[in-house]
Amino acid sequence: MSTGIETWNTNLLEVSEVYPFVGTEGILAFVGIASWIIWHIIQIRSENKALAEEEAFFQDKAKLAAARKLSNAETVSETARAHASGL
Amino acid sequence: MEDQLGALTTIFTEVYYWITVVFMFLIHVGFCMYEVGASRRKNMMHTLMKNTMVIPLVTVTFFYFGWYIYFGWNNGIPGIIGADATPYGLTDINWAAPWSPLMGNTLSSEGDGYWSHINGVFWAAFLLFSWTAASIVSGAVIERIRSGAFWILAVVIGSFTWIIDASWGWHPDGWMVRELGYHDAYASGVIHAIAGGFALGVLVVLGPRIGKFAADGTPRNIVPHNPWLVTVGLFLIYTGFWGFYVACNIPILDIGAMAGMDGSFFATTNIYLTPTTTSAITFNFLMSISGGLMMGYIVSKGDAFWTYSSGLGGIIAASAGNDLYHPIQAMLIAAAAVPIFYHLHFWVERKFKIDDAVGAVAVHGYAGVIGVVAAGFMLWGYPSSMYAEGTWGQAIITPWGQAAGAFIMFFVLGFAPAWIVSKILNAMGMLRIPERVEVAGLDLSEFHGRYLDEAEVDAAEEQEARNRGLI
Repeated sequence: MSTGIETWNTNLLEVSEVYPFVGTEGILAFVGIASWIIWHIIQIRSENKALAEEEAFFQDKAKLAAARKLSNAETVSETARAHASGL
Repeated sequence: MEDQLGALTTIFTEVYYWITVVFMFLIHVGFCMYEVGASRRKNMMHTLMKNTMVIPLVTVTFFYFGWYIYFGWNNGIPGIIGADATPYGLTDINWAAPWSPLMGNTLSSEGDGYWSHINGVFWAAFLLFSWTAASIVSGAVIERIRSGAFWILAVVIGSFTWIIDASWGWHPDGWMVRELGYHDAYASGVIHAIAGGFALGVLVVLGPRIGKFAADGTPRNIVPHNPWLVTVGLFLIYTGFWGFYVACNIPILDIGAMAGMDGSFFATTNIYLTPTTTSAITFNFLMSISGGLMMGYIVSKGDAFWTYSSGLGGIIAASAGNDLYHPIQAMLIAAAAVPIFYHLHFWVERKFKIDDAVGAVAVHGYAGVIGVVAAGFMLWGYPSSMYAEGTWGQAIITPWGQAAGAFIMFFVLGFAPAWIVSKILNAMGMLRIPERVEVAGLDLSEFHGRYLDEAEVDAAEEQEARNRGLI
């Protein structure tokens, strides 16, 4: 059984493709393009869900005000204080 | 490969492009640093990831269809513009389709195996231009665009519209080169004008960041959270730009027969196969960056961000003709462009309420247009490529041909597709971050848990220290 090259002791001028499973290039291209499109679908669904949850969470004005302090905090202790004050 | 000289030429060319790719990687590193520095602390990681993921997404799509478009669409849009009159038919490309053996590890190909060695590195050099095009747009839209929307837009420009313009205007057989006499050696229009126009098309639909404009319309300056990171990022972009310049050349080619000579004439050529030298573009790169920096410092009164950006914009404004200009001409063109794109940026910002966070439309878009048009005047009458035979005979560079080219780059392939795709994404509710999340900060939204962990670990450490009598 061999998936491609069986020997290097040959006339190398006649060797073309070196990768295994020569002949499957069309299938590989199809799988690659499909996986790219599927990636976008998964990513957008995930992002939409996360943003909808965050948007709902920040309907509470106090939480949004606390979040602003937290997200602009420059140090860990500032972060801790902002966290303690409501988020 | 059987003869040593042929092998040396081929493998030298292969390694040459590989080195340019490594240099150009620094452009992307620089753009990431620049954008993260320009964003506010609450949006740093979102900004970083938005630009980082350009790398895989544009890479795979450029493999699947971008490379094919470059060689296949020289005549225009297949089936709509032009006939199959070039050496490359639309379906007869045996090295650029994703299923071609030459898009993988192949030892020999027709002839001497040249494309077996060159295809991958040449593809990668173009790919790095693709990342750059998408990355230019990335900076303009920070702090309010959804990542998913941006990544769709990145694929549109990185693997589709920019490579169409390259096929049309940055290939010796492109219809713009043959019919308009379009000449753009180091991509003033082909990369920068299109990316600037594309960014503007997105920005018009996306809108400004919350708080950017006062009630009376006066723009506020949203200060970068780390100006040092911004400037180091721009330094890295300069560094990568060296690689970009040499990647635009073919390092060694026998153009004797093309020139009608009896014997050989080995030369470095630009993408249009006309001779230049690496020394010439080194002169011009440094002189145009200097012209941009000097004028930028004066115009912006020493503002670091705009001085650095003017250096970049200066190179871009000279790039279309930097294969042929005298170095002092390159410097003067670069310097002359700076006040135009600098003032245009602020005028557009005030007049149309355009929030371009990093000045990308000005530094790339306006400077790119200036560069293309300037080459029309400076190089008036030069052949646009080595064998530019169009419908009306030999194609020569003219101001009107270059102006038409700049319009195609900035509006037709830049602004228009960006505006259309952004409108569609906006109508689907997929373009902009919800306003409450924008106010809270995008990192808080995406990395909420990390912030809480940070606070919890800090409190636990303090308690532990007290228990041990350390504090």
